[in-house]
Amino acid sequence: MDEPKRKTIARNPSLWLIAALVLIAAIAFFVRLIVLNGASAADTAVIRYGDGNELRIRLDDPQTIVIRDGKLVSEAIGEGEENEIVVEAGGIRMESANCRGNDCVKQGVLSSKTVSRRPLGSWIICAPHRVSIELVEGAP
Amino acid sequence: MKNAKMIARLALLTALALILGYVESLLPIVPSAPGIKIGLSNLVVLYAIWQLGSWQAFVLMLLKVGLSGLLFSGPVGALYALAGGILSVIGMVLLHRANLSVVAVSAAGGVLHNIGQTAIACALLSPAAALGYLPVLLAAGLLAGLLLGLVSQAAIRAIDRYERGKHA
Repeated sequence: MDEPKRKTIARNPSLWLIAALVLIAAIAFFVRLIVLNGASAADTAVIRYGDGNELRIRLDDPQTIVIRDGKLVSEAIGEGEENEIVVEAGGIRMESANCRGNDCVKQGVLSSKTVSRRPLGSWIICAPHRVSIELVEGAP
Repeated sequence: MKNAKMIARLALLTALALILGYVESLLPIVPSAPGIKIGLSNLVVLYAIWQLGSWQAFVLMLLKVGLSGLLFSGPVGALYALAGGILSVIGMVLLHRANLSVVAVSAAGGVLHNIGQTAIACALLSPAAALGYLPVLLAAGLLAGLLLGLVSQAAIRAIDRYERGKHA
């Protein structure tokens, strides 16, 4: 009596699709965990902004960096497309940004200690202003 | 007359999708994780695929993305939503034509939406950052899609019952 029902479930393409999606997501998540565990020794941040500009800074060197309209400037004045980045206590964070939504500010502190529990892993990203910060290993 | 009825239904559904999108923007799920949301307006797109048709669902998605870009999310946000929307609607329409269930179609739609967004992030930001974040988006899209699929299934069945009762 159970046999036809079991066959129906086995031949149900909807269930197979959902199972395949769950499997793909689980494998991707597992690979991500392995990669993030390898990033725990990172001590340098790479800030990318503007048209391919890159700035490498050590996380043990406290400082404030301001980027406005794709260029490094001395202080934040809240004009143009502006991001203020703070390096302190071995971590880096987006202190402020005048983008919509402020997702980058909400992404919190990026450091070797926080990397494995952050949704964005070793990155802070301000998508509207195309500014990103990546945690990497090695001296600048 | 038939055209007028279709336009009126599309307009109503577009308004509903916009309102759901706005309500959702007031309730961020994980503030530190950009791009992760339930996608309530996808309920309306799913309904359109099942009850109106493929082109109508595609037009509805374009209208929703365009209008919410103008009103709420801005040009960059609209670009991400457009890539996700195009990929997910095309995928969902094809899977619907293959006679898959609402839940499976919605789950695939959630995953495809986030793959589309990742493709834009690869182009605009960094492929490494986008692909590193993809596993989180895949899991989130799948969970949201499954949830919305279950709600859509119940809604479509209830509307079907109501329509049959009306014509009985």
